Amino acid sequence: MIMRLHAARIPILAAVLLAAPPLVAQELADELQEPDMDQFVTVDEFDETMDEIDQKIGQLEAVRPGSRDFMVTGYATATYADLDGSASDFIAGFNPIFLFRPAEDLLFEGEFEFNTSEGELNVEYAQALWSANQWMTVGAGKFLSPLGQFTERYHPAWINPLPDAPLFAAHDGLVPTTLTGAQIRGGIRSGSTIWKYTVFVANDTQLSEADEGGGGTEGAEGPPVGYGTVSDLSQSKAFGGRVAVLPLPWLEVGFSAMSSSPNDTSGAALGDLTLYGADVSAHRETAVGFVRADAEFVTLSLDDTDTERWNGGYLQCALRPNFGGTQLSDFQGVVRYDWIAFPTGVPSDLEPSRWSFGVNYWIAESTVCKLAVERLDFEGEQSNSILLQLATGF
Amino acid sequence: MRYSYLTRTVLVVALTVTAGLAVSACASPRDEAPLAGAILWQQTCQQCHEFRSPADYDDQQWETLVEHMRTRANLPAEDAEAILAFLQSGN
Repeated sequence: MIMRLHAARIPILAAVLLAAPPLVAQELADELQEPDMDQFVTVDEFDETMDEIDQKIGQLEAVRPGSRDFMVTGYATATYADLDGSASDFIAGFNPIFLFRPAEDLLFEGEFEFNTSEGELNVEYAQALWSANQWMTVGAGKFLSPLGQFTERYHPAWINPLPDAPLFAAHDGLVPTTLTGAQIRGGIRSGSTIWKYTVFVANDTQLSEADEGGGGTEGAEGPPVGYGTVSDLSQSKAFGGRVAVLPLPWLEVGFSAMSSSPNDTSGAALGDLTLYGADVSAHRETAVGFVRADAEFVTLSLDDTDTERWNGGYLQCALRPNFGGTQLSDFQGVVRYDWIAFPTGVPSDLEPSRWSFGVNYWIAESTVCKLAVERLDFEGEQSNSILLQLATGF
Repeated sequence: MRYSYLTRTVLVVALTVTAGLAVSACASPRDEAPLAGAILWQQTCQQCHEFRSPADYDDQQWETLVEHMRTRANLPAEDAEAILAFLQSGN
């Protein structure tokens, strides 16, 4: 009876064989013959044969189209935003990430962004990565800006403890969200210290020079906008990178820089843009719970003049208290201060700054419900927002 | 003005490198054993996000995901390999 139940795996093998690439499947099939049940004298002999069949099934699963090194991951959100002085809004977002690894040292990755507030499909990033050796990976395509930490690592909604991005890192903020070009990056361990580096060359930034609409706050005189253009109107390129060190496993300190010669949308040169950034993150388990402390500061200038200099950043601390494994441990508190400062001559009340306070409930290891209250100081007025977001990583 | 900012940046980077090397020299014994995958998984993944259970994916999927994460987080290759071995042993 047991033998007959185990023999049920043979039809599974047949089904997998049918789905596998014909040549490979045929080779594997040739190695296998349906076992003659009369040949088994002992249960051990039978189990041994069944184990061999299981191994072959595993090999066939690995070569079946669509199952080998291809997977879809990503995240999704549902957000309710109630902003002072404007209509409340429901927003849905869906960001599938496709990963395909046709060879051990080659990876293609792409993220697509569907968002009801923007009403369009956006290719967040799409790049090919070649792992050249133990300490260097070469990438080409459209990639997340490696300047600082937030844009590249913390922006996914199920990772960011608050429902929105800091002002300087928003899509029309001081830091380009994406770049199109090539990058070399890696990490090196030296004892207990880890060094990280990324250098890139990319299409030059295309900007609308210091006009309204930038800085993540509509109507403000903001930084140049239009980062992340796919095509390049100029002959020059943007260069930059980030170097970081982890002197302790829970502490990362990084510095970023970018040099670019941006154009406006007509192709006219706007001068030299220089961006510097510094970031610190400390994430560790403490006696009171898991603490996430992050800070990032960015300054950028046109032609290195202080009269054409913007800066911005954020300070954030999140705590997921340890209540001895009770359900209260699933709660997380977070507070953030973020701001953007404009060039000399711009009235300070036009410079946005914001306090955000949030309480999150972790429903599962990658699913979180966030409630946040934000207070924005801008144009001499204070406005409050309430944001409720359900985010899940998959 | 251009050189003053550049100089400042170079100085800050140089100071960071020096500080990192100093802490590294003080903190790590010369013949330090490689860290176990479970410890690295705990130290590394939680730097950005909540833990994903090893049981969430199969061996093949973990290979792809760890390669994705290795690039994104600039993980040293030996750390990524140890984390992968741990994840594959625990699913």
